[in-house]
Amino acid sequence: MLTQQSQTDHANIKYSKVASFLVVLSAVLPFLNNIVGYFYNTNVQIDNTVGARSLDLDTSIYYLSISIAPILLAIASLFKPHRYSYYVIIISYYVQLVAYIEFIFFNVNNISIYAYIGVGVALLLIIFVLNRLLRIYQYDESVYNFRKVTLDRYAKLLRKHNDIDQNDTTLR
Amino acid sequence: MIQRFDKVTILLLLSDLLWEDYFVNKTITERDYLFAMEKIRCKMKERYVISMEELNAFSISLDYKVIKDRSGISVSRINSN
Repeated sequence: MLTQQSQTDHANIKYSKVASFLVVLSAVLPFLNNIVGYFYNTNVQIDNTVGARSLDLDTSIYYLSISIAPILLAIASLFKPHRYSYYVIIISYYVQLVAYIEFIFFNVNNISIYAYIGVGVALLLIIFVLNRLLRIYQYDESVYNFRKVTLDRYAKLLRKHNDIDQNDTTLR
Repeated sequence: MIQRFDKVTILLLLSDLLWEDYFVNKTITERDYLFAMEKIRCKMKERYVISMEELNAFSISLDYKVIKDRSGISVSRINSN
């Protein structure tokens, strides 16, 4: 039995490692166009522009990788990746988010330190609020469990003392 | 100060141990069990958050102790042997 448990643990660790790798890979994918751009010329135009006014190799790599990333992440999460691997995702998409905010709202391609701080503070605020909500939910759940368990035990005591049948209609 | 959630968790663990001692181990009487449960229920109803020391003192008054370490919060009997 112990050997069987050990084998299961070993398999779980293996799956967890692979899943963690997939999570990290999905964090790298949004930057795949930049990575490929170091080795190849990705400014070449692609003939097929259905769905876009103009499409170069760089953009098409980005579109593909950004679509694959959440799928990889979803598959990886099924195999319980290491908790810390999710931090890579947060950092990766945080950088992405800051870049997009700069592009869209400020029309600049020069990411400033203020943007990173601002978005970072906003994200921390969201995490704080979510954490508070989670705490409230956990508290309510615990109080509910306490009441339910206590009531069940008192009912057991009552039945034991008075020899009351569980289907007794007078208790309803 | 400890979180409200931790307070409820400790009280829940205490009530579990009390039930185990009364119903399974039969080391306490039914009267003692109900009396201790009433104390726990009153403590649960208090809305304010109390300190860990205060909660530990409460547990000791019921012959249990609260242990808080890296793995989390647990409750054990004072005379566990």
